[in-house]
Amino acid sequence: MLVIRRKETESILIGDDIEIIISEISSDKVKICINAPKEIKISRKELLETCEFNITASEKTNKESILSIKSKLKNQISNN
Amino acid sequence: MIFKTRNYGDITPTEDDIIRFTEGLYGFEEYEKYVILKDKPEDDIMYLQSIDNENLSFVLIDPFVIINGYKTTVNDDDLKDLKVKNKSELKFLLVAIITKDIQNSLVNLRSPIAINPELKIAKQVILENSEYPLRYPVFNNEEDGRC
Repeated sequence: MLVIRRKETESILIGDDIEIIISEISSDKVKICINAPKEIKISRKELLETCEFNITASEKTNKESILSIKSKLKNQISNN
Repeated sequence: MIFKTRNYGDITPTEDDIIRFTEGLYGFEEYEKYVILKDKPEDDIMYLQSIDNENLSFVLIDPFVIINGYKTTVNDDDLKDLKVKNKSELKFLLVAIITKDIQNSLVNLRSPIAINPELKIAKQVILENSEYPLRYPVFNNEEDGRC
């Protein structure tokens, strides 16, 4: 993995037509501006991971599993 | 009107039972209408059943039974979509992956389902500035319990 240090207002180029600009840095966040062609899809990683999670979550579950989880969760709460 | 469901046989939801998702769940944007199905009203684990597709259903768990003091940060756009002024007006539920060995089951703490119980509208929100992991075990303090 390539690691580059950048300051506010500095940028990085990826290929010929993608530019990533470091717009603002605060203690726990950076604001990033991206210039890229329209056909390049840009999304927050959590969004893609949530999609993947949902797809697995939509698979069929049997009722017995739900019932045993329900009773196990009751124990978990009473142990807390 | 009678709807077929994946886990509950036929149901006849009233207009009041139907929850409308403003954008669907991530990955399932085309399905917007759901009902919540529980064995008992006090249950913390329930089904979110699509009304548009009988084969589409999720398991949801109340965050209260997973961790103490679940903290959420909802941005202004999400609050607007859900038609509330404050996040305290919302009810949060977690999408769960129920594995064959239930011990390995997971919940998504990072992207809960936020529901406006008054207007029956919902949205899967991605919490910002949150340390919560996207994949979090349902059974997390088993070992502590034994100590």
